[in-house]
Amino acid sequence: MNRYVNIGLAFGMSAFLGAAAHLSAQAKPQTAKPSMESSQAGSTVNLGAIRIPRAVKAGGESLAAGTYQVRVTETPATPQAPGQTPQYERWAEFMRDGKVVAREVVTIVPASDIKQVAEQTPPPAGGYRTEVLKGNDYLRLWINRGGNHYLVHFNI
Amino acid sequence: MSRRFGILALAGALFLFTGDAKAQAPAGMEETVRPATTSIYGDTGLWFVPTGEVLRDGTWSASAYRLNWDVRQGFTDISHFEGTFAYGVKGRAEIFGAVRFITRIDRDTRPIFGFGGEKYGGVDNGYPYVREGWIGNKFGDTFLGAKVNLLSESRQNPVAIAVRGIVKVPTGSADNQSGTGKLDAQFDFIVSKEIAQTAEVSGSIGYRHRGDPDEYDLSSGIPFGIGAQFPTRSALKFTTEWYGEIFSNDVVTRTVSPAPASIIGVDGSVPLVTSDLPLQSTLMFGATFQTSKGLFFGGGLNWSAKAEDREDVGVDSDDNFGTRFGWQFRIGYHPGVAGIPVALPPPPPPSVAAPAPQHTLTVDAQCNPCTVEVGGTSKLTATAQDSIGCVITYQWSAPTGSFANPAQQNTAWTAPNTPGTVPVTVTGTCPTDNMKASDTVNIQVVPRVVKTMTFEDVYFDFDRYTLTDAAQRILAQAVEAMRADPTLRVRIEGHTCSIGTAEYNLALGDRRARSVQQYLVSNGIAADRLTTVSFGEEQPKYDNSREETRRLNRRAAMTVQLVAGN
Repeated sequence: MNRYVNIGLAFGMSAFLGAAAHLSAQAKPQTAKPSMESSQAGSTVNLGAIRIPRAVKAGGESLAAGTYQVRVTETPATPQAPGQTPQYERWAEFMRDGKVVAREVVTIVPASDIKQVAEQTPPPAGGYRTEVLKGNDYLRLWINRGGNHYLVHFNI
Repeated sequence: MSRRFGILALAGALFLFTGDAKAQAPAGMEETVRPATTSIYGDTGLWFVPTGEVLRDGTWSASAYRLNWDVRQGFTDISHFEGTFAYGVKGRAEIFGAVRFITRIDRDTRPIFGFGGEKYGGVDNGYPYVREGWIGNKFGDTFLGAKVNLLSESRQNPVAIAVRGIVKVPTGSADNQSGTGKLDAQFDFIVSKEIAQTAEVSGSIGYRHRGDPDEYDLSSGIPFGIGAQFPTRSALKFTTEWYGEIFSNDVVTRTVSPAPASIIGVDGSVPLVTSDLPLQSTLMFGATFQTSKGLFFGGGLNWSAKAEDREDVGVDSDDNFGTRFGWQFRIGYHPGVAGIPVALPPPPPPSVAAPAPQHTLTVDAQCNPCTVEVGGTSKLTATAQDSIGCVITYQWSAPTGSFANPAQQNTAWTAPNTPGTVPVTVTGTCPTDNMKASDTVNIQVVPRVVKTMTFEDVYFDFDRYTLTDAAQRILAQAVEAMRADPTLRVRIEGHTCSIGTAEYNLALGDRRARSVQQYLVSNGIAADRLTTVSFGEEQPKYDNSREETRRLNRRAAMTVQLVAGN
């Protein structure tokens, strides 16, 4: 008898937790905000090792092709641009051997809004992609991680 | 008599046979001329031997010869000084003549006649009236003739063939011992060829009829000759010949008896009734120098085969040159004969006139500024591109407004007092060919701005056109201002950064401007007070080379213009 009671309690708990999780998801606003787990103010998000396939300009400085550790800082881009969402424009750092070698502003787009921004198929979750834009003017680094899309547009 | 007439008639017929064909090169070929010399009768030939070619039409030749040979009868040395002349007729014939102005005959046998019997002591077939040891300088015979060319290498025949007729006019007389006093006639058939432009070989054979004087029966004969001259195209050329005559009789017969005084030797010896007449056979070798103009002179040596050395039979001689040898000399002029034609070089391609350079003229008109207030001034500039370097003249025109210098390349234009679009046209003209080109710019004439008010820009997120709360707060200020002053009209400009295509950005800028417009309308601002324009990425306010500033170009700007009269 106890055996069946335990099984029933387990199912009941599972159903409760599943329903709670579903309700929690439905309660998110339509205009998504960046996932706070990774881009909250005061927190730095490590995007992992990224290979830049060609030399670019980052923050106006040269950045050689190569593999860098990329992290998004909590620092928003300045100056303030009334109408823009400060959390969406933050500084990213490109590091090699533990040292920051370049900085560039990264645009953050919640996954729910990405189709409004880019028609292309995003890189898979946890992955990234680089692509040359507008002939040979820009190199876009597109990282899909943690429920956000991080777009860095380097001048070439 | 009838036979003589027949020979003359033959000669005349030959002359008439020259025909009307004028030697000329075939189409596409060019006539050439090669050197030639005269024969002793004046026609074209090697020396004693004629050739088959003739003088070209209308050309002439002339020469002087010193001829000399020996005959066995009387060990006689015969010499002539003669002049020749020839004239070319229609390129197919030539008429010629030779006059032996001086005839000298030296007979060495003593007594004059009878020494050595019929072999040496008789008379010569050509000069039977010689009856003294030295006749002195006497006028000799004259020869007139015509030669008709039947085939010619100049007409691309393999050989030259001609027939020749000669009449001996007896200007030398029996009385002065320089002739027979009778007419002779001769006909020859001649074949010749120039081989490889190096050597000309020729051969002739004919018949010579001798008129018989009263006292002798002379022998006619078959004259022949063969020879070569080489190198034909060289200034110095050599001639070698073998010529002679095969007589129809082997003796010359005195036909009167007793011998009249007129033929008896000065020493009283009487000519024999018959005199041996051997074959006349002579070898000759000569050299001739000829200039490129045709003048020539030469000397030669001949050897009479049938003559004999008089010393062998005990005859004294003052002929230091031997009793078989004779020497020749000649000088003259021959313009040459027609050679083998050569192919004309292909005519040069027709000169194609260089195409006249195509004249292109373009004119470009520019205005600065292109939007002016009523009564304002725009600076107009014309730029012409002309392919031939014309000095372009300009003429500006417009339906309204006025030009400071309408005929200048650059001018100022003053706008009218009425707003609107004014097409301003410049026409460039090239005076050389009156070619014209025009270009038109449209100048926007706008009302004079009295007051300008600019609101704070509204910014957008990357690739967005929705208005955030912060944006709406800025727009609220504009709404308030426009409500306060109904005369305000706002132009809303949409801008983008430079990422994305120009077309996409133009559309995005338009969406941003319209987003602002909709917000203002939704807040009670009449739509007719609002205009929108998208500049896309074309008017960046900030540096697009780095994202830090590039993001500031994602904006909408609102410009308020209060114009005069509103």
